[in-house]
This record gives sequence, C-alpha cells and structure tokens, in this order.
Amino acid sequence: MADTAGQKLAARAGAGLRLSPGAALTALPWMVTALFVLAALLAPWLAPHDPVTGRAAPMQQMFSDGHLLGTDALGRDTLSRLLHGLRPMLVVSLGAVALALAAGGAYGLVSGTAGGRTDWAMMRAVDILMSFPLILAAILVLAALGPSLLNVTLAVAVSQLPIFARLARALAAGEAARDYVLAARAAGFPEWHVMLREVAPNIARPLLVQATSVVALAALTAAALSYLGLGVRPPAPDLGYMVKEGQELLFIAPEQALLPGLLIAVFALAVSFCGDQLADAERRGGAA
Amino acid sequence: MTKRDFNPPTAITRRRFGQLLGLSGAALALPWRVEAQDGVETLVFALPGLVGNFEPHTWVGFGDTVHVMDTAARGLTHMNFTDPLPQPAIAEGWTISDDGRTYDFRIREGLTFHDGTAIDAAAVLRTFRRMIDEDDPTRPELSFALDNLGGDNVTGFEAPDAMTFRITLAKPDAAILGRLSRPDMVIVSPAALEEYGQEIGLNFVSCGPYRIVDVTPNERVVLEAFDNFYKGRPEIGRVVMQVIPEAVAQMTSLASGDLNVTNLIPHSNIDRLEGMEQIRIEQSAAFISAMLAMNCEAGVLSDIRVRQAINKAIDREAVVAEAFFGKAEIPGYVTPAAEQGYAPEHQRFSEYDPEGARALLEEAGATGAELSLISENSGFWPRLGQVVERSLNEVGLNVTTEYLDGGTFNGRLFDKTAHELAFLQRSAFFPDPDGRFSPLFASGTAGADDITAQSGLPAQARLDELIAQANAESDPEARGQLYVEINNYMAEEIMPIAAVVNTFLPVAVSENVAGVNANALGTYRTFLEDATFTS
Repeated sequence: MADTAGQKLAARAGAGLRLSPGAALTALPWMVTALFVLAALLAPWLAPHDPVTGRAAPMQQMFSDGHLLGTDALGRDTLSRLLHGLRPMLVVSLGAVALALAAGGAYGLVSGTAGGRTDWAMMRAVDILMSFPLILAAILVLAALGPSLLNVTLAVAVSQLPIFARLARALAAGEAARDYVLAARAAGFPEWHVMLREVAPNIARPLLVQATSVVALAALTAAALSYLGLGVRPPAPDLGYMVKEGQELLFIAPEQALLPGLLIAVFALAVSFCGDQLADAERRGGAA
Repeated sequence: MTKRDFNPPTAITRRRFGQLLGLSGAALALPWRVEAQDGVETLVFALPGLVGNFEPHTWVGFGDTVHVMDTAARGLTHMNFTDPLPQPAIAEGWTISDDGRTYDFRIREGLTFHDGTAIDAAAVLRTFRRMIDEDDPTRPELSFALDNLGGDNVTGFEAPDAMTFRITLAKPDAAILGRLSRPDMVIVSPAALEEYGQEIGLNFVSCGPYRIVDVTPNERVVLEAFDNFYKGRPEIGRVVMQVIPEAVAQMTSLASGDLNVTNLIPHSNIDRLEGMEQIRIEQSAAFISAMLAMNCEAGVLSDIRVRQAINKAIDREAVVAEAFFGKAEIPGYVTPAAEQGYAPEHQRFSEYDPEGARALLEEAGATGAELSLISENSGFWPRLGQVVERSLNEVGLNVTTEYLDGGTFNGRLFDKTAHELAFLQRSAFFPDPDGRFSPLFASGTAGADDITAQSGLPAQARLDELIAQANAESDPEARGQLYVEINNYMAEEIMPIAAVVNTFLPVAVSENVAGVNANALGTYRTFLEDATFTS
C-alpha cells in the first residue's frame, strides 16, 4: 500500500489526459470549471456593483451605461448578481457531494464489509430512501429544516447519499471477499481496522471519480430547489432563483432568465465532462 | 372458469396499435373540430387549474371555482364593480324593514334554472336552508357559506309568499346585500339538489348566463349560453374555460388567437402585450390591496410609534415601479380609491417619509430593532418583499423576510405567536367597504385577534363602535362618510397595518372581443355575459 488511492488516481487521470485526441478539447471542461470557481471566489472584487442593495433604474437593457448585462426588476446589476450567484451553487454542489461522499461512503463501507443481515438491513434502508425521487427527498428535508444555504446543502447531500452508499457497498463487498482482507481478518485485526485500513483505501478511487460526476447532478438539484423558492433567501443572489424571477420576463427581458440558466447548464456540463474523463481514466487504469 | 378466461381479449399487434393511436388522436381532436365547425361563436378563457367540483358552499378549487360559478350561476344580487351599490339579479328588488333587520327580496317572474325548473321563493329558500340546516342531507361536510353571509347574525330564512324570500338578522347589516352577490351565495336548482345531493358540485345546475355542458378536470369546462338568463341570452354562444396555467403559454395563446380572455398575465408583461396588434389590455380599477400587517403584541411593534415609523418608511413609489412595473397605485389607507369610504385625504397616510420614520424609531428606542417579515413565495410577493425589506432597513430597522409556501404562510399568519410582520392581501369579492373592516379589524375576528393582535388595544373599543355603526347605517352616503372616518381613526390611533399598494389582475383580451367586465376580472370575478365579438 505504498501509493495512496489519490496518487494512483492522479497518475491514471494524467495518463488519460495525455491519451485524449485533442488536448484543447480535453482541457476545456477543466478550464471552464476552474473559471467558475475563480469567478465565484473573486466575485466581491469582480462584481461592478453591490448585488443586493444596488438601486439603479430597474429593467435596464444589456450594455446599458455602467451595467454590462443590464439591471433586474429591482434595479440591481445583473452581472454582479450572476457573479455572486455562482457562490451558493458551488458551495451547495461541492459541499453536498463532499457530505454525501463521506456519509454514503462510510455507510456503504460498513454495509459491504459487514455482509449478512447487517448488510441486508442497511441496504433496505437505502432502498427506501431511493424510492423517493431525488428532488422530492431534498424537498422533504427542506420542509423539515427550513430554507437556508446550510439546509439546502444538507438536503442535496441527503438526496445524493444513496448513490454513494450503494456504490461503496458494492465495492466494499467485492473487496471483502479478496485474499488480503481474509488474511487481515485471519491475522486477528479488528473489524474497524479491516474496514478503514484495508478495504477503504481500495474503494476510494472509484468513489472519488463518482463524486466528480455527481457534482453536476448536485448543482442541478440545488438550482431546482432555489427555483422552487427553497434555496437561498432573497435578496441574496442565487442562479436558480434568478431563473424563477426572470421567467415571467421572458417576453421583455429574456436575458434575466436565460443568463443564469445558461451558467447553471454550462457548469453542470463542464463538471460532467470532467467526471467522464476521470471515469475513462479510471476504467483504463483498472484494465491496465 | 378456465385459465383462458384470464387472458387479454386480444393481443396488441402493430396494426391494432396504429388503429388505437389514430382513434385516440381523433378523440382528442373531435371536440375542438366540432366547436370550429358548428358555427357557434366560442370565447376561450384561461383557467389556472380545474378541480371540476363546483360545490358553492365549500370551494374545492379556488380560481377555477369562482370563474365557473360566476359564469354558470347567479344569486339574488349582483355587484358589477362599476356601480358602488348592489344591483338586482335573481331578485328584481328588495325592501328593508325600518329596524334594518328584515330583508324581503322579490323574485323575478318567469325565470328558470338550467334544467328548466322554475325559480321561485321556495327554490331560493331550498338553497339557503342548505346553509343553515345541519341535517340537510345535501349539505357538504364543511360549509362556510353561512359564515360568509353573516354567521350568527343571520337568524332565519323564509318564503312568506310564492315570489318573496325573506332574510332576518339579529342586528342591522348593510353589507348583506353585497354579500349576497358572492359566488357562494348563488341559487341552485332544488331538483338537481334532490337528484345529486352532496355531489351537486359535480353536477352543478344554477341559473347563470351560461350552463355547464362538459367538464374535464385539469383540462376545460364547456358552457353554452342560457336562453332564460335574467338579462337575456348572452350574445356569445359558447364559453370554453381552458386550463392554461403558465403565463408564457397564455401570452402565446393570446397572440395566436387560441385564447380570448385572461386575467392571469403578470404585470411585467402588460407593456409588451399592449404593443401587439391582436391583443388589448383592459383598464381595471385597483381593488386588490397588499398590506403589511403589524402584530401589535410583538416586541417593539407594540409601540404605535414603531408601527407609524414602518408606515412612513415604505417607499411606495419604488413598490409600484419595481414590484408592479408601474401597474399599481399608491393607496390611501385601507379603502382603495375605487370603493366607498375612500377620501383623497387618506393619501397622507402613505407618504414616504424616511426622516420621519427614523425620528420615530429613535424616539421609541427601536433603531436597529430586529424584525421578521413573512411573505408568500409566489406571484408578486417576493419582489414586493424585497422592496419593503429594503425600505425598512434603510431607516434603521433590521428586517429579514421569510418566503413561504401558501399553506405554511397562512398557518403562521393566523397565529400571532408565529409572526411579527406579515403581508396581507385583500381583494374585493364584493366591493362593499365593510368587506375590508369587519372581517379583519373588528375585535373577535381572526384578523384583529390573530393577525394584527389589535383587539386588546385601548383604542380598539372605539374602532369596534365605528365599524358597527357604519354597518348599521342604511343611507349609502352617510355610510360612506363613516368609512372615511374609520380609515382616519384606524391610521391615527392604531395603525395595525401599513397600506402598501393597490393593484389589479391585468386583463388581456383579443382585439375582436368587447364588453368584458374588466373591473370584475381585475379582482378575481368573472362576468362574461356582456362580452361580444366585434368581428
């Protein structure tokens, strides 16, 4: 176990990048994702106006004086709101996936390693959670906790948790039957040691690859919740809620709904492509 | 029984699948083709949804129930939203006893219900007894009609002769004529009640300008003109109320001519639609009021100076421009300009005075006070919430707004321990000035006890007296003057609400449609009997 799973993953992802037919095309989703992260981080410095309290003339068109993307119905600068609106999307999607990965991964690890009745009971609980559509599960969590950035993150994490629990359980069950695990058990190592020191490192890589793919789904779920009014509380900017606010303005100011919608779609697509590349690299690495 | 009996009668072959597909398509297209080919002029009206149950005493739906009820039914009186006073409808007139407690309604001769049975005092009595008689087998399990008519103040219904219907009251109530024009006060056919009992809502028979001929829940209601309507047969032969919930779909349907009338268009799109040749935006009076209710028992809000400061702090010009795209009015106080009881002097209560607000807050020691505001999370409310929150924070308060779904919002609105500031909408189902005071601001009502919690204030006793006095006054002019005084008194002595804005539902019609009652449509009522096609 000289190499950590992360090092192997990085090495194989690197190998995958080198084998891609067009380096520029391969790099594009990574660059777009990085651009989103940078824009979100630097939003307070990049945004030309206050996204919440700006009081310019309402409904100014794009390329108006001082407002590149115009203003919304309440006279707030649209570009500033878009830049600041990236932040909750990134926080929720990355935070929720990290939480779901940690909780779901641990759950699946215990279930798959333990096997038997414990495994059966734990997986039936996951089946129950999976019987709810993802968005409905998230709405139920928010109905119980109330809308806020933290609660949306929790809600999206709960909706994504079964994905990781199932995958981790399948991987762990496969590893649990392998000789090195049997050897560790025969050597008298306690079960927590077997799980954490033997099985976990060997299932981490595919879980991390899966996590990258799920970020896109989490971003879309977060946007959907905001669109339903269950996300960040107005007047704080949020892309999903901006789509909702702009929807009735489609005939008079289509950019109010289309621009935030476009940003959500581009981010989800870029992250999804990144996940695909990592998955391809993982498959090639597995086959090698 | 052999095993063969359980097999499907025929297998689905590709040919049969094609036949079924063709038949389904034809079935879907058929009704529209009939309408297009039978030569009957058809007006299409947009519904937000359609439950399909038109029980007048328990509204199962909301928007759809009122739209259909107004089109298919009528009551003793009618308010046309142009005249301030109730007009005769199924009753051709009425007399009021000297003590103001007995109303005798003369029923029009020769009228029938849609099923052909005669309308007389006994038929009217049958409808009203259903409100009051808890043993009536046709009565729905939950019936709100009596409460909406006057509750315990209504002491009896009777039919002293064949064409006279009488209502007796415990104390005078000048608003009862207006209340009788509500959609839940419509007259229902006794024969239909006998036949369908509690399912009358699914088989609704009344005496409105159009009779229901077909209902497809979640899709549409088809109504045909009724020959024996009290104002005569409507000129347009058929009304189709079609479910088109999305505003964008409504606007494209209007532009394409598939939709003739709607009152569901957002304010933001009025200017855009006005620029289109085939669409006209009707001018409606602003009967819909958005108010900011202040819980008089909640923390700093128990100090009238804080409530007055909040009232002064609201930038209503910004509200009109930003939340309603200029399609609204700055109110006076509770009574809108379109109703009796309004006076131009009330406009002083809605003047924007941030400096005055800061001074009052300072004086009350409430600068920097934290307050929560609850709002619904649909329609214009989120925009309104953001403008009001901004206004209040600019004068030194620290307000945060929670945007809630309708059910949660109402649960908290009617619980004085669960809100501090809350938005409140009042529209004019019947534009009688009492409709905005007795149910909201008189002690003992859910409004005064639970929403504004003003019932315990020392100044409330005088307000209760004034409301009772105004409602006992039968002279319209004197009554109107009393409501002017009530507005003044409530704003100066109690200030339980800040009037934020008065607006209307934008009414968009096809260019070739005239005679639509825009004032009524602008406040959720739907009177289509005078509509005509001009070409």
